Amino acid sequence: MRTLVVLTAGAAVIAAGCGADEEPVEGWGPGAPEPVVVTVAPAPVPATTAVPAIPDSSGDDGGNAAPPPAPPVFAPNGQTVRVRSLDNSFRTEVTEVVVGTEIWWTNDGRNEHDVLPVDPTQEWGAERDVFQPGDEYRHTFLEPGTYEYYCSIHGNEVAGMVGTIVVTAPS
Amino acid sequence: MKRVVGVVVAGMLVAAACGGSDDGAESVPLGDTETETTVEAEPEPEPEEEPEPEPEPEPEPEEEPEEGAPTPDTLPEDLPGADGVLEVPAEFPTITEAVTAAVAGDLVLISPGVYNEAVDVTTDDIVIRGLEREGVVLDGNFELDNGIRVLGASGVAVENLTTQNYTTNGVFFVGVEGYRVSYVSAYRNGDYGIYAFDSVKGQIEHSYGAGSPDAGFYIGQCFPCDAVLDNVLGEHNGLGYSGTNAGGNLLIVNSTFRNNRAGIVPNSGSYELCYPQRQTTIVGNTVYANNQPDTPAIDVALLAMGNGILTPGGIGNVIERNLVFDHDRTGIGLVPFLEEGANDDLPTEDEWDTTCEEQRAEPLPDEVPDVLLWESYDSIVVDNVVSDSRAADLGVAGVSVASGDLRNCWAGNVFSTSQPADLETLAPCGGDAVAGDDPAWAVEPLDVFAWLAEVETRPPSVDYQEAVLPPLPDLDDMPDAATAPAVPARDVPFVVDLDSIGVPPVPGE
Repeated sequence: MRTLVVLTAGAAVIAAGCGADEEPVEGWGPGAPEPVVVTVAPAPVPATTAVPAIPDSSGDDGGNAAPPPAPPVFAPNGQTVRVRSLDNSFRTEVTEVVVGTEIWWTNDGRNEHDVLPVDPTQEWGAERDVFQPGDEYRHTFLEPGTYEYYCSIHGNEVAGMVGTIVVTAPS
Repeated sequence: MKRVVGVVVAGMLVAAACGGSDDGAESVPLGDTETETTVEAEPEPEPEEEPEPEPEPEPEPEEEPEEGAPTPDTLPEDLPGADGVLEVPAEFPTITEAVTAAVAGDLVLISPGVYNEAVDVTTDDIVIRGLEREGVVLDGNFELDNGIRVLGASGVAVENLTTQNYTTNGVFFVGVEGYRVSYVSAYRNGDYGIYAFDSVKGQIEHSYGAGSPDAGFYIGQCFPCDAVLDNVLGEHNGLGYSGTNAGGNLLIVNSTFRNNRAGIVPNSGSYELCYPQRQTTIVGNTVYANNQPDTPAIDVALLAMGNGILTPGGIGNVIERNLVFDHDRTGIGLVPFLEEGANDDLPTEDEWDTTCEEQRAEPLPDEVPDVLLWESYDSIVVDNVVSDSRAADLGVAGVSVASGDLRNCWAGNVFSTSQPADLETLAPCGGDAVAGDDPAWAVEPLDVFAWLAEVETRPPSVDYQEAVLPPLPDLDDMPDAATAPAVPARDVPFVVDLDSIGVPPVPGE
């Protein structure tokens, strides 16, 4: 396996690490601001735009029922939780956070990795060229849900190097 | 987990590699190639009572078959692979299509040719076999990641083929229980030749790995691994064999590692799980001339260069009856490993038996040291024949712990030099060791600090795509490749009679 070799001509502590200077904060810290709940209302429909009829539960051929409201979107809460990418696993494999918390992935292994969402329609993640040993990637999930991901080099969507971020709404 | 005690002054040896070992020189009852069946005499059947006759059911009207529809006379034998053998390319144009169509127990049988594919296997218990070891070539063209990657599929066997020119690995198992590689050549691949990670119950045999910057063969992150490397050849790699945090019923036997930067190098490190590395048994191997200056090589291989069998931070390994010669540094060296950018604290001794599953479930500590110093403890070096080592045939070094307090022992070796001097007197297996603070341990100590200082002067790594490699050697094909039945990797690893293995003869004699 690869290891990072730092040689010192004289005495020295070989100190380094991937982002070791940052102290991630798990969960809510004291004095953390309350989350801001932002509800995104659907855009108004122009009068000239035909809106397909949406059948209501009564079975009536109704008129144009309003679409369901969009899920709430939260703001970042200033908290950070770290996920270490080792060779070849994410630790911890399942990470649960409150919505608005930043996930901080660090490649602490000796191999290159990537962080790819299992759902390819989701637009987050880090390709291998930007997730080499020592690199980091940060993303804040603003909607509650379960976000699965994997490293395509050492796994696939269901096996090998996989991880899950469980994002919960604040209590 | 206790924190690292002290910090090394001056240079520390940062070495790493991959591998593991088992304590005890005895046969390992792990499985057998031949399944024994015991047929018991059937009991006398009880007399059956005469059933009451039932009224005959009304026959259903026969349906006219659709025109062109298959009939029982033509299904399913005519379907490709219906007989359990999926032929490539006769029935399936690509290996990937055959593997995708295969079900448990099937044989994917590949005719000679060059296949530019990266094959992912997710089906249990299939066998992938080439009809000719050198004739069936999976070639990644330096664009594809892995020749054959087995993800979470247990019982898969890969046989009798060549994988080359992949950007990462020739054959790669991840997270499986039951794997086998037989008569496979892995040549010029960008990370490892043959690689089993986080996998247990494995057999790698009669196989070849060359031209990889990390290692020709790697088993990592398993405890207990329940795996055997038997009769393999690793040459012109960064490391011949590497095994981070691997051990527990892990045997490396009857194999040859030559002309690598370093030969057999199991190590500990927190960049993988299942630390520390412990309990690999290394018996009956030929390890020589691992000073090769023109191989591809990761930084660890550069640091470990010039050593035959090296155990950076390894614990409880057994090194017996190996023939080791012609190394610029040590023939057999037990050394520390300094890890930068650690991800956890050092495990305490009472945690050394923690299994991988238990460790995986443990939360990470709130504070992690920047640096870890893994020492090599409790290893047994017995009955080896070691010669022509420019530093020392046998060596040991402790940094945070005195060399004499590491509880390693030596006995019955044929050798000329050791560092410290008189190692078999200082710490004889089966005898009383000289106290760790005795000045005798300071006589001719092994200078691992110098290795750190010298690493900048090592011949640099050569791009694996361009490294000069020997041509593929003429190695044995699998017997009866065309007709041998498919045997998934379930009864593995095969039993090894360790006691029957002697020191190998000098090559060419």
